[in-house]
Amino acid sequence: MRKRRGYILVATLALLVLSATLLVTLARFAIDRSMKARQSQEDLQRRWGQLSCQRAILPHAETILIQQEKRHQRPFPIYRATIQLGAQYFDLVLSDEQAKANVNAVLDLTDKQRTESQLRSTLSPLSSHIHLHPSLVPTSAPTTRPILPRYLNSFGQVFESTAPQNLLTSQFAAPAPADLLTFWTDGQMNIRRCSASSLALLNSSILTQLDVRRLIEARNNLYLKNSSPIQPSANPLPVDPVRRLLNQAQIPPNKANLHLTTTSKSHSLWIIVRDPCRQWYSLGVLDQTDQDHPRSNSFIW
Amino acid sequence: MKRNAFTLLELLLANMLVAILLAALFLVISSLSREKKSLAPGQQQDSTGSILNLLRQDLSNSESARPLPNQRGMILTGHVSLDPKSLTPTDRRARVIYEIRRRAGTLCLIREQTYIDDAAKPLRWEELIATNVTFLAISSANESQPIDDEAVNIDDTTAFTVPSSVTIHLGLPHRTIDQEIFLR
Repeated sequence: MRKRRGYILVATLALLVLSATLLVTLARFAIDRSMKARQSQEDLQRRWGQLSCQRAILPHAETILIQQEKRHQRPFPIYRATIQLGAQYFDLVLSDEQAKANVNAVLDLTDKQRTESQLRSTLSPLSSHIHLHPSLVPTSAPTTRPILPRYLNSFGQVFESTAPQNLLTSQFAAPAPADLLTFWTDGQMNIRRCSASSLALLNSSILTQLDVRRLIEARNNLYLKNSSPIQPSANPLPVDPVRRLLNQAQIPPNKANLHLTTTSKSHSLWIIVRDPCRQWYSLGVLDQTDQDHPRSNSFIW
Repeated sequence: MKRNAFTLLELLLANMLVAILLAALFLVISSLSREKKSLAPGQQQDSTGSILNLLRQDLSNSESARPLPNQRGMILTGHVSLDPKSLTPTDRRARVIYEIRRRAGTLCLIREQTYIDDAAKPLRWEELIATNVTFLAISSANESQPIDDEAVNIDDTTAFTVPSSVTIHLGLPHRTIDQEIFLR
C-alpha cells in the first residue's frame, strides 16, 4: 500500500496557525487604537464639561447663592452639587470668595511670619505645609485707586506640596483651606456670608472671640423671618448696613475699622471630575471687585 | 475496499478552505502594511498629544504669554510650576520658557522653569519635551490684551494676557499642527 501524503492537511493547519497569529496581532492593534480613541473621547468630554460648567455657572454664582439663601433662610457661602455629563460625574463647589479671609489682607495688616503663624494655628492639620511664597512685586492691575496689593495669588504660594483634595476637605475639625481662605478679592469680607473662623482670622487683631460670636449671631438673625425686632436705642441706627450690624452686635465704635461689606463680587468654582482611575481638579475664579479690571483666573491640577 | 487517496469532495473542501485562508491572509497583510505605514505618524501623534496636553495645562495656569522671536517658542508667566520629580502642578508662581534649542545637532523643544515667588530659591530646571520640533508659536484671535511692561517685553515681541482660547502652531518633521485650545 502506498503511503498517503497529507500535504493539504498540513498546509491547511500551517495556514490556520499563521492566520490566527496574524489576526491576533491585528486585533491587538485594533484594541490599542480603540482604547486610545476612547481615552481621547473621555479627555475631550472632561475638558469640555469643565469649560461648560465654568462658563455656565460662574457668571451666575451670586444669583445661585441668593436663591439658596432664600430657600434655606441661612447664609450660603458655599453651594455643592454633583452633575452627570455623559458617563462622567462633576462635583461642583461654588463659593463666595468674599465670605473668606483674604490672605493678602492678613499679610498687609501684619507680616509674613505672623501670617504664617496665624494660618498654622487655624489650619493645624496642614501646619507643616504652610510656607508663604509671596511675589516680589504685587500682581495687581495698575490703577490710581488705593487697592490691596496681591503678593499671593494661589494656594500653591501658601501650601507647599499639598494635593488639591487636601485643600477641599476639613480635617480634625479644622476648616478646609479652600472654604476659609481666598487670594483674589479686594480684601473686603461679606459679613452676610462669612464664617466665624474666617472673620476671626481676618480681624484677629481687632475683634475678640466674643465680638465675633456676637457679630455672627446678629448676622444670622438677618436671615430669620421671625427675628426679634431691633431693640430701640437712644441713638438712631446707622444707614450703612455694616455699621448697623456692628451696632446690633454691640461692637464698640473704636473697633469699627473692619474689612467688612455686605455684597459679593468675587466667586469661585471648583470642579472635580471623577472617573474610575483618578480625579481631576480645576478651579475658576471670577473677581469683579475691581470694576476697572475684572479678572478671571483658572487653575488646573 | 481500502482507500489510497483523498476523495474529490475532500480535495474540493480543502481547496475552498485554503482559498478562504489565503483571502484572509491577504486582508491581514494589507491591513498590517497599512498599520505599519501609520505606525510612525501614530507614535508622532502620541508625542504630539503629550506636548499639546502639557501646553494646554501650562497655558491654562498662566496669566501672560510672550512669543519668542522667529517662532522659537514662548515665555509663560503665572501659576505654571511643576514639581521637578513628579511633574505634577505645584500651583506656585513661575516663569516657564518653551524654546527650541539645538542640542547635539538636533532641534529640541525644552521647557525651562524658574520660580518667581522666591528670589532666594528660584530652583531653575529644564526638561526635554520633544526632538525634531522645527517651530513653536502661539497666537490668539481676540480678547488678549498687550501687557505694557518693559521687564517682560524684551526683544521684538510683546507679552499678552492669556485669553480664553489660543491657537498653537507646532512644526514637526512631516507635518504642521495648528490647533485651537480652549483654556477657560
